[in-house]
Amino acid sequence: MMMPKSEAAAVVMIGSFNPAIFQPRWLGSQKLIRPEEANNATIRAIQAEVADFSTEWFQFQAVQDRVQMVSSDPRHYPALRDLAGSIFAVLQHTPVQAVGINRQFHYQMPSVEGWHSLGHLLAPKSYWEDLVDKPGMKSLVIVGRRKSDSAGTLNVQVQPSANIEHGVFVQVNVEFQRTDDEMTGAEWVPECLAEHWDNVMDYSETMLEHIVGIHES
Amino acid sequence: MLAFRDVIVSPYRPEADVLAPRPKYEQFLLRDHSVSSKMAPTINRLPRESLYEVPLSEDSGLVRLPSIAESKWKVLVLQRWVGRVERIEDDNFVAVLSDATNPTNAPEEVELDSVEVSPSDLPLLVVGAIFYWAIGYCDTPGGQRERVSTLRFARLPRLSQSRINKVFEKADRVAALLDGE
Repeated sequence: MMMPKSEAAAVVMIGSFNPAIFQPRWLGSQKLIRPEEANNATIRAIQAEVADFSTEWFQFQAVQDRVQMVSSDPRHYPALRDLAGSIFAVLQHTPVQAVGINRQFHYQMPSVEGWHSLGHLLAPKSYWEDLVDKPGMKSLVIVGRRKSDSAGTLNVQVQPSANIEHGVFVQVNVEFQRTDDEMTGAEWVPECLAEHWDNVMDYSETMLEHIVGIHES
Repeated sequence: MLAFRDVIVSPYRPEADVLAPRPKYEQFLLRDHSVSSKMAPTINRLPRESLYEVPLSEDSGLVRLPSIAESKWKVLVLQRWVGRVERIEDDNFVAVLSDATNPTNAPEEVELDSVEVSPSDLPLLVVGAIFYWAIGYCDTPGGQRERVSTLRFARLPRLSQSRINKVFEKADRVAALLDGE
């Protein structure tokens, strides 16, 4: 795999949530995280409208229509999947409408020329130069489905990195919608994550290699 | 038209910067829930919202959470395994490792020292337990590269009886389908 400068994985859920329940101590009492992690979490806000805290390896944010869990430590991606699945196995009646599995990378391009070349290939400037002075690619989003597995809607976003000079930001998102009308809660979430997580993680690495390798081909 | 009200939820405390650098946004913008339904997902409200970079839509109706903090410890994983505990002996345990980095590799049996397990994970060390093992490098904020080996046991809730029943019902349906019933 190509070595990015930094990366993260995230699970994002859209539904109807009670943010106040998502507290480190609650996760600890359910034995979903270690007692030390529950006790030493950095809590920024726990209120009716929002929960925001972090541990050494993940950050948790919840508002009334969205929950997201992020880790920038690749050692703990499987644990992040387990945590997200387990929370909604416990809170199985929580209405969750959509789940997004995300992976993102900041990759340092080997040269300035390569960085420009990638932008020109993804968004050819010749179409714009008649009307736009110094056109540049700010963001590109490709929507589709994975060839390896058609489940979920794929969104691939490519941008100049905001973190590293002459770097590229690549985000892969696969979004799954609740389809089983009999299920009104979150019963489907753990299964969805168990079934698709590894594939999306692997696919994201392949996508990064593909995108940053485009200018060399 | 969506309206927003500013709600100062929590100023970021300096100590949060240790593992979680100060975010770009100093406050949350909470959506005024009197304006519209909060449930209907739209193209701008879905999980594809970028965590770091330029949002796809500035007026998407999303609650503007602070940008995700990035750890100052950069971890580079070289090899990952998923292990299943087969048996436990005095001060060690035997596990079958599946190569998560290269799944085509055959599973292998290894003997591991129990002292490798974090103390708070020791209660999880039972036959059949699943754990994740990663080795790699960790670059500290001071620039030191360290070799790391991380072993973490999976924490999964016990399945409810209704969930178990559903699993069996699904298995029966699949079996019936395969039998051509």
